Parts: sequence; structure tokens; C-alpha cells
Amino acid sequence: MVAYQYYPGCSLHASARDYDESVRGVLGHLAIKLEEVPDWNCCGATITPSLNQLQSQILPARNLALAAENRGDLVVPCNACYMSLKKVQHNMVKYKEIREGVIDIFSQAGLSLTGMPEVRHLLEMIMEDVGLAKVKEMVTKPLKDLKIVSYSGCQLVRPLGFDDPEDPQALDQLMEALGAKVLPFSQKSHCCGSSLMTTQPELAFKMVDSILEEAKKVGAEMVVVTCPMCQLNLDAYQGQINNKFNRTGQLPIIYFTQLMGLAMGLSKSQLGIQRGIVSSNKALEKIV
Amino acid sequence: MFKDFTSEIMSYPGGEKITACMQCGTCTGSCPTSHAMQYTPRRLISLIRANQRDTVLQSLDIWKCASCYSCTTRCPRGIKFTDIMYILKNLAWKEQSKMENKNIAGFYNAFQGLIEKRGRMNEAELIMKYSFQTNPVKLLEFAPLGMKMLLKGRAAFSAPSVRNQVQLQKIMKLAQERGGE
Amino acid sequence: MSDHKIGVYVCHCGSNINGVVNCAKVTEEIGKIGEVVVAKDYKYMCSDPGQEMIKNDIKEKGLDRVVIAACSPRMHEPTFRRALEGAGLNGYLLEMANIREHVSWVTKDKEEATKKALSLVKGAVKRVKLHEPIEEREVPVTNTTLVLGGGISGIQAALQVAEAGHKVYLIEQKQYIGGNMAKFDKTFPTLDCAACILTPKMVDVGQSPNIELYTSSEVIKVDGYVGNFTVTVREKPRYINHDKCTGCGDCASACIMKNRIPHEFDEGLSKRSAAYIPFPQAVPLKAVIDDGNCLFLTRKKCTLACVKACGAKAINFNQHETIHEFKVGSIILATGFDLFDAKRAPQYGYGRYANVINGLQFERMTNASGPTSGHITLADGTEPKSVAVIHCVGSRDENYNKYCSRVCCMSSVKFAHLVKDHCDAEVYEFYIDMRTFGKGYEEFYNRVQEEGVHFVRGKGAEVAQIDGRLVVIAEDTLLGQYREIPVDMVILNTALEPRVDAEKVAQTLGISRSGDGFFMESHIKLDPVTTTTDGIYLAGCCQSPKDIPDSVAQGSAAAAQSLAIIATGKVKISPISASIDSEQCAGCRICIGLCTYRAIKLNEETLRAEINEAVCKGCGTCAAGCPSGAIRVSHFNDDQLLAQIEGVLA
Ligand code: SF4
Ligand code: SF4
Ligand code: SF4
Ligand code: SF4
Repeated sequence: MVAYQYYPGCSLHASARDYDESVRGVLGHLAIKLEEVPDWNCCGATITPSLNQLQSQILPARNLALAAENRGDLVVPCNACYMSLKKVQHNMVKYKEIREGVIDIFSQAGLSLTGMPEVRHLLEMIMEDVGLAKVKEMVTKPLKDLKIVSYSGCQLVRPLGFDDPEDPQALDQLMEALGAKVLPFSQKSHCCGSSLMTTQPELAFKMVDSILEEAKKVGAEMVVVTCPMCQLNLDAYQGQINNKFNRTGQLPIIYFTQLMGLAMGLSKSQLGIQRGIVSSNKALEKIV
Repeated sequence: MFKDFTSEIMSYPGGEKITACMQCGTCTGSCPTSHAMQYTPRRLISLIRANQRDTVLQSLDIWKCASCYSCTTRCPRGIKFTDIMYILKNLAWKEQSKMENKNIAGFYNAFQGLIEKRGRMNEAELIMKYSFQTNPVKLLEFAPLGMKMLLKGRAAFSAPSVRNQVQLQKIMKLAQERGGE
Repeated sequence: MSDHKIGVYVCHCGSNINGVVNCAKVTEEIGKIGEVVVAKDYKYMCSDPGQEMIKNDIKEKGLDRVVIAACSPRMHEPTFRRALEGAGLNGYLLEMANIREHVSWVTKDKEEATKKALSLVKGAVKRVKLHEPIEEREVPVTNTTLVLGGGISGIQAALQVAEAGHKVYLIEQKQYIGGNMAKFDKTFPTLDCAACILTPKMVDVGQSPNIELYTSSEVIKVDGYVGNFTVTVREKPRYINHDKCTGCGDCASACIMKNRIPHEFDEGLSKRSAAYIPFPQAVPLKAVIDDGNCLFLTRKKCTLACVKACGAKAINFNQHETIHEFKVGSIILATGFDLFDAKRAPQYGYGRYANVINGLQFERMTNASGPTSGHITLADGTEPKSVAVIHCVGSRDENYNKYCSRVCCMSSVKFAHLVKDHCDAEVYEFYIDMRTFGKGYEEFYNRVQEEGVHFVRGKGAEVAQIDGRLVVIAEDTLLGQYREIPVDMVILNTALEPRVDAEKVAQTLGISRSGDGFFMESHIKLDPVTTTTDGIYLAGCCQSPKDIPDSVAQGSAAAAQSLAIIATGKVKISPISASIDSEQCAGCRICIGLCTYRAIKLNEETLRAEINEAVCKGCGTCAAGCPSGAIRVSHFNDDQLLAQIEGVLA
């Protein structure tokens, strides 16, 4: 059994419990073992870097230090956590003052940074280590005729990410391997405004609205996401946004792992599918 | 100290290349929130280079950055504008009196406070803290959504935290003491 | 060893050297060395009085060795060699110490610099004693020229050499000559039609008795050296007998694949047959059969409608590729550019939105003999009411090419004019800087501004489709505002890039490429036409992006270089070369693989390596690599180098 270290991030223990459930379900089904990083902490998302640069290095770096005690790559399901962790790694290599600052602070608190694990997004790991061939092999209930758009979001693919920043391909390919019909989608890597949702909703609402509207326009029945932040914004706030902009129609927002699970024959409840605020029952009728 | 604002920005990781900006506006055109900014990303660079430190740091525009990295990805001169936004916010935050928007200040304070205390985030608690710090009436606005989340089992009741809180608090404090660079 | 009489001259180079190095001190110190009979410093050694001083000293004081401490030998070594020769001394009895690039320009501390300069001069003095007189070699020249690439600059070069009465082999990869210019409609700034000015030149090429034209051909091997190259060319079959084909086009009309293959010449905007004539004014005006798409050639099954249709019985499916070998004195490279593929910047929607096109597609659209007969039309056949032109796509951008492509500001302005002229739509130009630097260019820009074109200063950041309409998103930087401007058509003015096969061509010819990927010239300002390989010249966009006037000028300049070689009848070859002591050579062949210039061959009889001195550049790589120590490079032999090191360290 292949083993990875797992950094769920705060959301997957709370508002994105469904993501966590589906991740564990699908990877278990693929005989991949996840070991949660012991005593991990919040990565600081986009908030800490806005306030204090050194603290914003310290938070992800502590996770890296804890993960470095064990073997295996560090798999991250959240785009924002992925970016935070990758960025610190990048900074530690590039900037001597950051590296030395972090190491020095750690040494005063009994932490040591002996090495750094490879940080990989869950989608990246599935594409590269599991591979599309294996995924196809595991599909028992192809997502026939399910029309989706894949929404990678911004932080997964930008500077330090693993896919094309303007026109990401991985999620499309994975969805096609599951048998879904992937529609062309110009908003694939546009930002959903997650970090502004609470403080400046007027900005974030507009960003979510253009993503949802484009998805509806191309005829999508669902939006597939790779990040708990994107999911929350597009799903939980959809009602308010529809009201504000006078939009009709509801679009379920689903995690890619949930669709993988369905295609591989796992049950809806095993994958937390009932937890979506916008119900996906109707869209999924034809496949389950 | 610094000769001017440009050299100050250049001294931080990510700010190094600011003098290479050719004012093409690709950053602004790629930015999902620049339509709402008085000073667009490109203009902020101009203002920095014109040494208008106060104008920049007092501007609420810097808090409109969603950290989407579009500007950084597309900048033809390799300028890491997202990082520059972070630098500007850091500086503005340190000079708190200049922060006029209570919502922003309240939210960032609430978030940071929770992390410094417990090391993990919980949306429900964050919203509560934020509302109390800014305007408790907000709680009512968030209530319907909160209820829905609760019903779907997507809200945590217990406040999560790391086990080794002492360690986490210590390293956060040490970082804070170093002036945040 | 007998005593030498050495003269040492220390140059101030104005304040370039003397501002940092204490030249007087260096001179004084070096004068203390026994064999140095003259030591002088002077403001400009390369000036006439400076050279005269050396000549006089040689004559009057009987100097037999000269050391000059000045700039890099790259520029002035030939100057000083000539001075020595003018005074009757062999030019190779000279050694230069580079105290400018290696000392004054890179050392701040004056004392350190003076010390360093003195060490270098001491090394030169030690070394020059071991110099031997060397005679320069001359080889005769073949008076033919090979021009590689049949675009405007290649055509220009070929015609000029041919008009001077010399034979030219013009090799073109495509099935026709004329290059990219043949696709254009109007040319800036005068708006004369490209065909009107280009076609006569193409026809001249076709008719010139001195030009042998090979289309569908590529160079696969180059041997030899300046004056005496042997070039091997592969000519692909066209499956058409050139002598019989009348260019009537009946085969194209009959072809089963008619209107089914995207036509390259129309940048994919039209469809062609498998047997076709590239375009009506093509030179040569002969049909060609596309072996990638012809049903008979790919699957052996076709009714052979073309064969039946051809009254001239010109079609011959039994043609094979032909290999030609040419002996030429010089080679002119004019292989042109590739257009940046706009799909590499997905944010502009090229390939996704039908009405987002590139500049060449627009050229074809406005061309009267193009796919839309000169009408500017949208994908649905209607005329656009508004058009955006986005500058610098793939240029001036670290993510793609850092350089400015130079021609696109002007072609963008031309596009705007043509839109106004053809359909009076609103035109928005999104630019970073307007670069309209050529003769008559600014005036043309001014004129087009007056035609009412909107110039928006800001790089187009993205092209989106909102409510079925294209929208260009950019910052209007002069307003300081984010703008979304809806339009019907977007023209992406994309970068000019090195051709995909540039590396292969560079390797075949043994030349270098600069950081931007274009072929490298000897000197970016003073010698933009020659390469670092003698006898190989550059013309047009293969050296860097250029407009038509510059391409033509460089084509003529390259022709002048070739003609100069022919006129002299012989070329001087640097006498510095390696030689192999066959007694010591073990025949291991290591050197053969090391030599970039392919100067070394194994003598099959003696089984010892041998160096062709005419090809050898004297780089010394082989000498360093020979495990038996059998190779010696003249003017750079071990004794000389060791003496120099000893002098520097003393
Ligand atoms: S995209 Fe880059 S070069 Fe252009 S204005 Fe913005 S920061 Fe400056
Ligand atoms: S990172 Fe910030 S400034 Fe840059 S494009 Fe995104 S929101 Fe705008
Ligand atoms: S091959 Fe025959 S039919 Fe075709 S153009 Fe030539 S002469 Fe005409
Ligand atoms: S010529 Fe003009 S459009 Fe072309 S790359 Fe240079 S600045 Fe850009």
C-alpha cells in the first residue's frame, strides 16, 4: 500500500467535511494510505501573509517540519493550503534571511527543520502517481452524459502550481477519464474571491457570479472543484448571489473526489454528497 | 533606513523587481477587483516609485487584492505584484491608525487572534468573533447561512486546536517580535 | 637563447585605462626588465601617431619583439600587426596585454589595478620572446554563392549576386519563393501592394540565368571553409514534372481532396486540394502534390483524377527525393522567422473564439487574392463593426520572448488603416509603447490617428466572450482605469520568433545563436551581417526581427560580402592552427569528436589523425583533449603559455 502524509487543513475538519469524507473514501478504494500530519496547524491562508510576513512563513513551516519527521510526500487537498505550503518552501530556498529566521525561531521552540517533504496537491498526486489509466480501470459506473465544467480555481495553478496557469488541463482530463462530458470553460482558473467573501462581499459576489453564469451558459449541470474555499463560495453563497444579481437556476458544486467516488461505485453518503447546500440529486439522477 | 519607498519595497522578498515595471497595465487588466480600485495595481507601482508612501498605505485598494496571482502570472516583466500587495498590507497593518475600514481590520484581527491562540481555524467561531469586534448585528446576517451549514453537518461545534499550543504560541510570538519581516 | 630587443607600449585609452591604472608606473617598472629596450606610455596607441611611434622604434632601435598593453586584442590586434609589418617585422612577433577589459573596467582599486596590469604585461614580455614569425595563408575561392531561404531578403541577396554576373544557388524549404511577404496585402508606410513590389523580383529570380532555384529543398550538410564550401541539399519530390507542368491548375480542380485541406498559404483560412498551386503569382508557377494528404501517396487508392485532368502529362508519382551537392565560396542565410503561436497565451482566446485571429490571417483576409477576396469578414460572413488590435502578443514579455519584435507596432497601425479603409469599423489599438521609428513611420501613425482610430495605452490583458460578444480587457493606463471594450473581431499581433528548426540549421552550418534564439552576428553593431564562421552571412529576420526595408538592406549587405570574396579571388586564412605530430598520435580519434569545425579526419592508411589547416580555427580544443599530447597549436603552444603564466606570477 502506497502511503502519503495528509494535511487536511482547517476546512476539511469543518465546513468541508464532505471533501474529507470523499478523499478518504476514494483513496481507501484505491488502496492508498493517508497519514494525517500529527498536530498540524492552520496554514494562515491569505490572512496571515497580509499582516505579518514572518508569521506567514512560520505557520506553514511548522507543518513542513512536523511532516518531515515521517516519510512520504505531503498531500494537500486545499488550493489555498497548497499555495501557502509551496510558497514557504520556495521562499526558504530562495531567501537566506527567511530560511535563517525560521530555523532560528524553531530552534527556540524545540522544532527542527531537517528536511522538507515534497508538497503536492491531491489532484496532482492522483494525476501523476495513480495515473489516468488506473483511474479508468477503476471506473465501474461511468459518468455518462453528465455535463460538467471543471473549475481549478486560481491558487492551484498559479506561479508555483503544477498545471497551465491560464488553461489548466488536469481536471478536464481526469473528468473525461471518469466518462463525464467536459464543456469548454473560460473561467477555469479565474478567482472566486474567497479571501474577500466576509469583508468585501460586493467584490467576491461579482467574481462568483461570473463563474456561475458562464458555467450555466455553456450548459453545465455541475461545477467540479478542487478546493474547499471555492466550494464554499460557489455553493453556500450561491443563494445570496442569485438574489443579488437576479439569477435563476441552481448549480451544484461538487468535489472531484466525490465524482471519482461515484464513478468507482462508492455510495453517495460515503462521499458526503448530501452535504452540498445546493443539492446535486437532480444532476446525478442519470448516473446513480 | 530607506532612501525612499521604492527601496523600502525592494528590500522585501518579492518586491525586488519593482523598478522594472513598464507600466503596461497587464496586471490591472488581469485583476478581478481592479474595477473597484481607485488606484489600480499598475498605478500603485507608479505611486510607490513616486515615493507617495502615505497615499499607498492609506489606500483601501490594497485590501481589495484577492491573492489570485493573475497579475503575477501575466506580468511581462516578472514582477510579483501579489507579493507586493502583501508587503503593502503588512506595512499598512503595522501602522494601524491608518486602517480606516473597520470590517477589514476586525476580520483580520479575529482570524489572526484565533490562529495565535489555538492554531486552527473554525469558521463559526471566526464569524462570531468578527461580528462582535465590528458590529454584532452582523451575526443576524450570517445566521441563515450558518443554520444551513449546521443542518448539513458542515459546522464544527467544538473549537479545534493544536495540541502543542505552547509551542505554536511561542513561535508566533517570536516572529511577531522580529517586526514581521 | 639570444637576447631580444623588446619594445613595450602602454596605452591610456584616454581615461579608460589611465583613469584606473597608473600607466606611467607600469611603464617605468617594465622598463627595468633587461631585454625591454623601449618602454613608453601614450594616450592612444591605436592612433596614427601611436602606430608611427612603434614603427620608428622598430626601425631605429632594431626591436625584434613588441608588447602592447591596451584593450582586448579582438579589435586592435590586426591594427598593431599591420604596424609591425609596416616596419618590416612579422606581425606575429607581437603580444597584447589586455589591461582595459581585464583590468581597468573590472577593478576599482587603483593600486590593485596597477599591480594587476603590471603582472599581465610581465607575462606578455616573457611570452613574446618565444613567438615565432608566421606567414598568413591564402586559399583560392569558388566564385559561386548559396542563398538559403527565398523570402524577401534571400531574394534580394540572390538577385544582387546574380546581377554581378555570378552563379547563385537559391534553396527554399517551401514550394515557392516570396516568404511571408508574399502573403501580405499592403506594406507600410506607403501602402503599396506587396505583390506589386515583390512579384517582379520573384519573376527575376525565376528568369535569371545565374540563379538555380531549388524549392521544397533543405540543406543537410555543409563541409569546407570560406571560399570552398561543399553544401549538400535534399530536394523533396513534388510529384510533378517541372518541365512539363504549365501551371494551369487543372489538377487542383480535379483532385478528390479538393477544398478539404487547410491551406497554409492562407494561414488556414481557406481549403485546398492535395494537388495544388500554392498561389496565383507563385514562383515557380508549378503544381505540387502534398504527400501528407494525397490519397494515392498515403493509401495507394485514388481514382487519380489529377492524372486524368493534366493535359501536359506532368504528374509523376514515381519521383523520389534528389540529393544535390554544390561547391560554393560563401553562404547567405536568410531563413526568416516563425510567427508566435497565439495558443501559447490562452488568455487571448486564439483557437477558442472564431473571431480572434493573428496578423498574418488578417493580411490574407485583406488580400484581394486571399480567401475572402479582400473582404474583412467575421466567421459568420458579416462585416465587423468594431475591431481590436492587440500589440506585443508574445513579445516584450518574460513569459515568452523578452525582445521587441519591431515590426508589429507599424503593422498594427496598418491593420487599423485597412479596417477603416475596407469597412469603416471602430478600431481600438491596445499598445504598451508606440514604436514607429523608421522613415515615414511616425507620419503614417499620425495619419492613422487622424482617421479616427482609438489608441488605448495599455496591454490587452485578456480576451473574453461576454454575452456572445468578444471583449478586450485592459487597463487604459492614461485614464488609470480598468476597461472592458466589446468588439467583433480581435487581431493578435504576435511576435516574430526564430524558426523552429533554427537550432538544426545552426548546427548544420556550424554557427551560433544569441540568447533570443536568432542567429548570432559577429558584432551586434559593427558587423551585423557576418557570422563568427568566415564565409557565412546573415540576412533578414533570421538574425533578428526586421521590417521589409531593413531585410532588403541586409540582403544587399550580405550579397556585398559574398561578392567581395569573389572579387578578391582568394581569402586569407588565419595561420593559427593546430597540427598533429604523427609520431606521437596513437590514432585514438578523441580529437575528431572534439573538433566543432570538423577539421580533423583519420588517415585511413596511416591510422593517424590529420588536421585540415584551412578548416582549423586554432581554437585548441583538440590539443587540450589529446591524451598523447600529440597536438600543438601554433602561436599558442605549451612553452609560450607556460612562459606567460610564469611572467604573470613572477
Ligand atoms: S503587468 Fe507588470 S510591467 Fe505591466 S504594469 Fe503591471 S507590474 Fe508593471
Ligand atoms: S493577486 Fe491581487 S492584485 Fe493581483 S490580480 Fe489578483 S486580486 Fe488583483
Ligand atoms: S500538373 Fe498538369 S494540371 Fe497540374 S498545373 Fe501542371 S500542367 Fe496543369
Ligand atoms: S514593435 Fe510594437 S507591437 Fe511589436 S513588440 Fe515592439 S512594441 Fe510591441
